[in-house]
Amino acid sequence: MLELIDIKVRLQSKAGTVNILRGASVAASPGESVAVTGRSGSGKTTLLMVAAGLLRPDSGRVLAQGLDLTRMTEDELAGFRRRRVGVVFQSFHLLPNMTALENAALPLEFAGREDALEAAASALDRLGLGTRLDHYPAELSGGEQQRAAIARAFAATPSIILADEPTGNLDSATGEDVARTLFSLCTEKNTCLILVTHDAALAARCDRRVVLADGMVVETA
Amino acid sequence: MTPDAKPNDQAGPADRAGRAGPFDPTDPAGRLPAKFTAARLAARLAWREMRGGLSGFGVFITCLALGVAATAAVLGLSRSVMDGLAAEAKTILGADLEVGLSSRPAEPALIALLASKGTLSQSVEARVMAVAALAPPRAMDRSPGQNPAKTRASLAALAAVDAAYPLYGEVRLSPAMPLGQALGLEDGQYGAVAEQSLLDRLGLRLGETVRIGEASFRLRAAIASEPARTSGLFSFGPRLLIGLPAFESTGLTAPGSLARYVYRVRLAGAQPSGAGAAGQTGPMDRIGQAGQAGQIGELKEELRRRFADQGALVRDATEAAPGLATLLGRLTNFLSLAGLSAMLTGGLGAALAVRAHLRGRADSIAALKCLGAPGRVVFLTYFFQIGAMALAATLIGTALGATAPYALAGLLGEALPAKPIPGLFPGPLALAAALGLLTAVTFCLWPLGQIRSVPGLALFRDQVEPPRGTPSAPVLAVLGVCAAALACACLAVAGNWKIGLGFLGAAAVASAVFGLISRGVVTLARRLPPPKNPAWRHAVSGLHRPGNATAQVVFALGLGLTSLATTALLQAQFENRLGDQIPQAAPSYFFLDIRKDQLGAFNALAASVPEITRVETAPMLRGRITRINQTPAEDAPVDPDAAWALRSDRGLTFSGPMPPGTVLTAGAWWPADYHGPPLVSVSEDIAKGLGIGPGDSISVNILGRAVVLKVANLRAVKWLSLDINYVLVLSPGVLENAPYSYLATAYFTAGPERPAAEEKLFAAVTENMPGVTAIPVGEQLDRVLAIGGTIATAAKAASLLSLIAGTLTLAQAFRAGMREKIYESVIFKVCGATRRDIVRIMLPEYLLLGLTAGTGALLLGTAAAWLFTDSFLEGGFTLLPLPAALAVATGAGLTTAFGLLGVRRALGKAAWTYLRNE
Repeated sequence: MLELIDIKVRLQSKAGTVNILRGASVAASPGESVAVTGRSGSGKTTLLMVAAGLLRPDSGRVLAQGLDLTRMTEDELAGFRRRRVGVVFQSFHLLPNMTALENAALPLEFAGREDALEAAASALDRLGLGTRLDHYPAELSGGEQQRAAIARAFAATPSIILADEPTGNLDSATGEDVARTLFSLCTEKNTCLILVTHDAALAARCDRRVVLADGMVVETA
Repeated sequence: MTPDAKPNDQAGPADRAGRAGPFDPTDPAGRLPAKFTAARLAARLAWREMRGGLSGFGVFITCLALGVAATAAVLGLSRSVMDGLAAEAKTILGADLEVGLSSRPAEPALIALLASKGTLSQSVEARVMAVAALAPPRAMDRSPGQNPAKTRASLAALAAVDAAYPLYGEVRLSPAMPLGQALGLEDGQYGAVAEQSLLDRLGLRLGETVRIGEASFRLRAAIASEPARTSGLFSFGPRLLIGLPAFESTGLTAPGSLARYVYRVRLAGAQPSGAGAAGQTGPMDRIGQAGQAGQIGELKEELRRRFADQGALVRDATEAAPGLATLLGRLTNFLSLAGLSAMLTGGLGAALAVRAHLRGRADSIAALKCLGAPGRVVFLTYFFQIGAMALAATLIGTALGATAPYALAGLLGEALPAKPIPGLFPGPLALAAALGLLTAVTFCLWPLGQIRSVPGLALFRDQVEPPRGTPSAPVLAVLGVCAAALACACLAVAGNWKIGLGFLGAAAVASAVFGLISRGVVTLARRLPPPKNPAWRHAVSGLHRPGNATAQVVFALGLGLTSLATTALLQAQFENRLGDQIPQAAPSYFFLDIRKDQLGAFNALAASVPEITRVETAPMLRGRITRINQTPAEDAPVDPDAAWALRSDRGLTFSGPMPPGTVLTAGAWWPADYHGPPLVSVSEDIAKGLGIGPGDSISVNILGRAVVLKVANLRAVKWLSLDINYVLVLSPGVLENAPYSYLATAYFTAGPERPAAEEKLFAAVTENMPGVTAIPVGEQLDRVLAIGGTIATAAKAASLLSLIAGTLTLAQAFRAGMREKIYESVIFKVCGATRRDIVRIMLPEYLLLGLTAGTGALLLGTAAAWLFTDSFLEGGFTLLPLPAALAVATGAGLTTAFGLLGVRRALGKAAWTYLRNE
C-alpha cells in the first residue's frame, strides 16, 4: 500500500549539511495504522512530508499503490495527493480567509467534483460542524478547527491519511475526541494511517509503532 | 508628536502597577525627564531594529522620493525658465518699452516724446499673403511635397522695420549680411528676408521674388534667428521682414487695414539684455535696474497722461511675452498637479509599506509591551524608524529634483525664446521637501497610531493580531494638523489656490469614488450566488474574504490609472473635437482686410465657386477697451481667463438687427433702426470675466477716438464654431463712417470635390485681391492640434508618474499579501492542486481586481474629460472606445502581471517548510 524504502534527506544550512533522514524505511498496508514516534528533530515530520510527495528525498523510494513517487513530476504528485492522500496537521493549516466549508471543499474542487460544496458540507455535518459551515477558522475552537481539517483530509476519500501530531495543540478531552474521530473514519473507510506523535497513548492505539532516532528507524513494534 | 500615553489595558505591567518605572518623572534619582528618556530609549530601540535591514522600506522610500523629486523638478524647472525669460525680456520685447497702435500711425508728438528718451525703432506689423511671383516650377525644381496645382501663396507675419531694428540682439541672416543691406533698394527693387519655412511653402529660392500686396520684393536671405520673435506659437504664419520705406508700396496702408504700428524705445544708458540675470546681479546692476525701472515708470505715466486718447497699447519688458508666460504658467500648474498626484498616490504606497512593516513587527510590539514598555516608547520607536526613512526618501527626492533644471535646461532652451537659467532654488526645494515629509507623516500616522491596539497579552495567544482600530485622540489631532498642513503645501505647490483647491477636491472625490467602488465590489461579491466554476468561485470569494486586498489594489492602481485615463481621454476629446467635429462644421477660410469697395467683387468670386454653400461677411475694425465703467482697464480687477480681451486690440463690428443665431443671455437687443447713444453687445464669457452686465459701460478707443458704450445685452458665443463672432458688437451710428474693412468666411460642401474648390477660391482671391489675407482654417486647426499634441505628450509623461507611483503601491499591496498567498498555495498543493490549478484559481481574482480598478479609473477619467469638453471645448463630448479600453486593459494587465509574479514566487516555495509544526 505505502512503502518508504531507505529514505535519505539532507538539507543545506548555513552551518553545513544536515542529515535529516538517514535511510529510514516504513511500510503500511491498507487499513493499517502506523505510529511514528521519536524525539524532536528525529525526522518524523520530514518522513511524513516525503510520504505525501511534498518533499523529494535525496535517495530511496516511495511506493504507493504500485506508483513510485520519487519518479513523478510535480503535477503527477499533485494528482496523487488529490486522489489518494489526506493530511492532518498539528496546527490544522486551515486557510484563515476561507470558511470551514470552503476549506473542506478544496480537495474536491481540485478533483473537479461539481458537488464539492455539498459533499464537504455533508462531511462537516458528520463531524458535528453542520452549524459552523460558514465560520472562519478564527471563529472555531481548536477542536472544531481540527475536525474541519479532518473533514478536509477525508473529503476525497483518500486511501492514505498522514497525520502530524493531530492532537498536539488540543487539550486532552478534545484531543481524545479528535483521535476517536480520526481512527473511526480510518477504520470505516479502510484507510491506511501514518500518524506522527509524541503521545504514547495515541501511538498505542495504532496497529504498529515505529521509533525514529537521528533519521533512522531504531525500533518497530 | 506625542501619542496617547494614558495607561490602559494594553499598557505594560509596570504602568498598570503604578510603580516608579524608568520613565517616572518623579524619579528621586533625578534622572532625565520622562519624555526625554522615553525619546532616547525609543531612538535606541529604533536603531537596534533598523540594524536588521531596511528591505521592507524599498517601496516606501521609492514612492516618497518619486513624489518629492517630481515636485522639486517641476518647481525648479519652472523657476529656471521664468528666470531665463526675465533675463532676456528686453530681447524678447525688442525694447525697454513698446507702444503699439492698430490701423494708424502714432501722432508726431508721441513719436517725438519716445525719440527723446533714447533710441527709437519704428515698424509696421501685419498678417499678409505672401505670393510667389514667378512661373510655376519645373518638376525637377519642385521641392518634395509641393503641390504644383496649388497657388503658391502663404499667410505670413510681416514686419516692415527701420534701420534701428532690432534695438536688442541682432537678426542673423543666411547668408550672413547686414539686415539693412538685405532689405535695401537695389536695382530698383526692395529686398526681403523670410524664415526658411516660408520659402519652402512658396517654393521660392533666394534671389527670387515675393509679392506682398501690390509690391514685389527680392528675397535676399533667410532669417536664421530674430531676437524679438518669441516663437511661432502665437503667430499666424512664418516671419517675413521688409524695410519700412517699402511698406507704403504694398498698398496695405489703406484705411481700415489691420496693420499694427509699433514704436520701440531703448532708453538712453540702458544695459544690454541678459545683463543682471536672476541670481547674477551685482550691487551696481541692481542700482542700474532700479533707475531704469523708474525711467520706464515715468515714461509710461507721461504717455498715460498726455496720450491716453490715442488708445495705444504700452508694454515694458516685464510684459514681454504675456501669452507665453500664461502658457508656461498653466503648464507649470498642470505639471505641479501631476507631481502632487504622484506624491499622494505614493503616500498611499508609503502607508501600505508602513502597515506591512508594523504587521511584521506585531510580535515585537507585543513583546515590548509585555516587558513593560509604555505605549509612548513603542509609538516613538516606530515613529523614529519611519521618520528616518521618510527623511532619507525626502533627501533623495530633493537631490534628484534639484538636478532637473540642469539636466533639462538645454533641451528646453531649444523650444523657448530664452535659455532657462538653471540653479539651486531653496524655496521650491524646501517646499517639495516639506510636501514629502508632510505626506509621509499624514499617511503613516494612522497605522502608527494603531500600534497601541496590539496588546502584550497577544503573545499568549496562538497568533498576534495585526494592528487595527482607531488611533487615540491626540494622534488624531496631530494627524488633522498634518493633513491641513499637507493641504496648504499642495495649494502652495499648485501655485494657484483655485487650481489647488480643485486638485484637492478631485483627490477627495477620487478617493471617495474608489472607496465606494471597492466597498461595492466587496458587497456584490459577497451577495452574488457563487459561480459553479471553482476557479471563478475562488476569484469572487477572494474579493470579499477577510484580509482581502480589494480596497488596497483598487485604490492604489485606480488612483494611478485615473491620471493616465484622464489624460488619454482628454487628448482623444481634443483631437476628436478639433480634428473631426469642428472642421466639418467650420468655414474653410477666413478672409481679412476686404475693403468696402472690394466686397462686391469678393462676393462675385465666391459665387463663381458652386461648391460654396455659404459666405458670411461682417464689417470689422479694431479697437481697444480702455475703461471698464470709470476704471482704467489696466487697473480693473479682471478674471485671468478674460484678460486676453484687454491685452491687445479687439475686432469690432456693428449691426442693426440682431444677427441670426444670436443667443441673448441678459438684456435685450436694440431696435434694427436704432439711433441713439452708442450701445454694445458683449460676449457673455468676457463680460463675466470683466465683471460687467447690461447697464454698465465700457470705453473703447477706436482709431484714436474714445467711445463710451453702454452694455445693452450679453450673448452666448460658441467660439469653437468658428463662425464670425466678436467680443463686441456695436449698435448702428458709431462705426459706419469709420474706415472699416470686411471679414468674410466661406463654407464649402463636404465631399471629395471640396479641396479643389477651396483651392480655387484661394487662388482667385490671392490673385485678384492682393491686399486680402486668407487664413486657411484647416491649417490653423492643424497647428493647434500639433501644439495640443505636444502638450498632451508632456501631460501623458507627467501622468505616468502617478501610474508609476500607483504601480509601486500596487506592488506593495501584493507584497503585503504575499505571505498569505504563499501559504494558500502550499495548502492548495497539500490538497492536490497542480501548478496550473493554482494559477487558474489566482489569476481570475487578479483579473477581477484589475478590471475593477480600470473601470473606476475609466469612470473618473470620463467624468473629467466630460467636464473638460463641456467647459473648454463647448460640449461635443463623445465616449471614445480606444482610450477607454486602454485604461481598463492597463489596469487588468498590471494586476495580472503582478499577480503572475506573485503566483510564480508562491509556486517556487517548498511546501514542507511551511507545514512543519512551530
